[in-house]
Amino acid sequence: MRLEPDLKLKIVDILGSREFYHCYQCGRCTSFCPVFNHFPHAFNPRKIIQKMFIGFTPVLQDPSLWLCTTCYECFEHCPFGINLADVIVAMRNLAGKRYGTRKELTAEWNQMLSSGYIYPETERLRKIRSELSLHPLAPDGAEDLKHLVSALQESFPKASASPMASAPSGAENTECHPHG
Amino acid sequence: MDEKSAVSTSYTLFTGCLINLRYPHFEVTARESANRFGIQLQNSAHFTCCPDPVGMKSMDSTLWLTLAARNLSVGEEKGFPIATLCNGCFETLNTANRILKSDSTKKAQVNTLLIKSGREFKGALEVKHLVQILYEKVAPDGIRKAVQKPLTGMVLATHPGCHALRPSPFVRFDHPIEPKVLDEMVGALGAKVQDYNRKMMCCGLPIYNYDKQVSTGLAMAKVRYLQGVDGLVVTCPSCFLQFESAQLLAKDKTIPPLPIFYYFELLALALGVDPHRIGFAHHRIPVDEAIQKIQQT
Repeated sequence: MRLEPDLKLKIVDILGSREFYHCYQCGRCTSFCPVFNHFPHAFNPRKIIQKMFIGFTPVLQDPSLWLCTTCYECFEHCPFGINLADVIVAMRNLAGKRYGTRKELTAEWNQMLSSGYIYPETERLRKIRSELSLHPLAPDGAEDLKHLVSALQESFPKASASPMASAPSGAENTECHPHG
Repeated sequence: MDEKSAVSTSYTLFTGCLINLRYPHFEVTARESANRFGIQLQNSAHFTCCPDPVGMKSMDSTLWLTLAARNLSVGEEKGFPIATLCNGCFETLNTANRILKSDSTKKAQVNTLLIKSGREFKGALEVKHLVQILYEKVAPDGIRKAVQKPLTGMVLATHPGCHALRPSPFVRFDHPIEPKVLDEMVGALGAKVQDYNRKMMCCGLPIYNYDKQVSTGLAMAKVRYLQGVDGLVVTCPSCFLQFESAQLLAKDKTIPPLPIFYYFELLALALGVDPHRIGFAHHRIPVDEAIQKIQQT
C-alpha cells in the first residue's frame, strides 16, 4: 500500500500547532488511558498517533479513532505535555472532511440548529419546568445561532453537516492515496 | 483570579443542554444554594449549547470554537462572569475563552464570523463552575457553618469528572491528578468522604454513541469498585446521566445499585431546602435508602 507521509502536516494545519512532533512513542499516554486500561484491544492511543506519523491513512477510518473520551489523562501525563486527545480530535475533523460527517454528529448538529440545544425538549420536561417555576426555554439563542450559521455558510460555501466542513465527494479522494 | 471577579457576587448562569432539558431540578438546587450565600445568578435567553466539547469539537474544531465564542460574547454583553453547572460547559467555555484570549489569529478568525451576526468576542470575562465559585468565595468552612441539616452518617465518594480538571492549563479548577476540591466540599456537608483508587477514571459518556459496551463498561468498572459507599457525588449532569444509565443497562444484576448525587442536591438538602424541590424522586437509581442513613441531630 502507499502511505500519505504528509498526513501529519494536515493535522498540524487543523491544530495550528506542531507540538505533537515531540512525541517519541514512549506510551505513557496509553498507560494512563482509561479506555486502554479496561479495553486494551478496543483502543490504543500510542498506535493511533504512530500510524498518523507514518501516514497510514486507514487510521482515519478506524472505528477506534472514536473511542477516545477526551479525558485528557494522556495530556497531563505526557513527558512533553503533548495534547494527544486534541490530536485525535483533529484526526476526527479530517476524517469527517474526507469521508463525511458521522451520522451521530449530523443528528446532534441538526438538533442544535433547530433548538439551540443538542437534546430535544419533551412535553414531560415542559411540565416539570413549569411546576418548578423555571422560565420556559427561549428560542432566542437558536435564532441568534441561525444568523451566525448563515454567516458561516457564506464563508464556507461547501456546506455539509458542518457548515465549515466540505461535503464528502469522489474528488476529495485524490488527496487520499488508495490503499489495500 | 482577576480583580473584577474577586469582588463580583453576580454571575450569568450558564445552565447548558442537559440541565435545561433533562435535569431541571439541578438548576433549582444550584439557585437555592447560591442564593443562601448571596451569590446572584442572572439569566440570559441568548445562550445555546456550549457547544459539546467532544461531539461538536470532533465534528469541526473551528465551528466548536466559533459557537463557544458566540456564547462567551453573550456573557460579555451581560457583563458578569459566567457560572456553569456542568463540567462539559465549563471545559468548552473556559478552553475557548483562554484559546481566544491568547491566540490573536484565532480570535480574529472567529470575530470575522461573529461580526457578521452582530456579535464580537472581546475576551473580557471569566468562566467558572459554580462549585468552584463557592469553594473560592465561601470556602468549605463557610459552607460548614451554613449547614442546617448535616449529612452525618452518609459515606460518599466523589467523581470530580475529567472536564472539570483537564486539560489543566485551560480549566484550572483543581489539581488535574490529585483533586481535593469536591472532597472538601462534600466533607463540609457533614458526610464522610471516602477516597478510592479509581477516582480519576472517566465516566465513559463521550463514547456512548460509538461503543456502548466500552462506554458503560468504564462506568461500571467504577460502580463495581465503589461497593460499600452510600453514593457517588458528581458536579456534571453528563457524568450523572452516564452512571445512572450504565447501571440500568448493566447485564450483571448482582452489582448493588449505587445512588448518584449531583453536588447541589446534597448542598441544598444540607442547607435545609425542602426535599420535594430537590427532585430526588426523579432519580432512576433510588436514593431513599442512602438518605435515610443521615442521622437526625
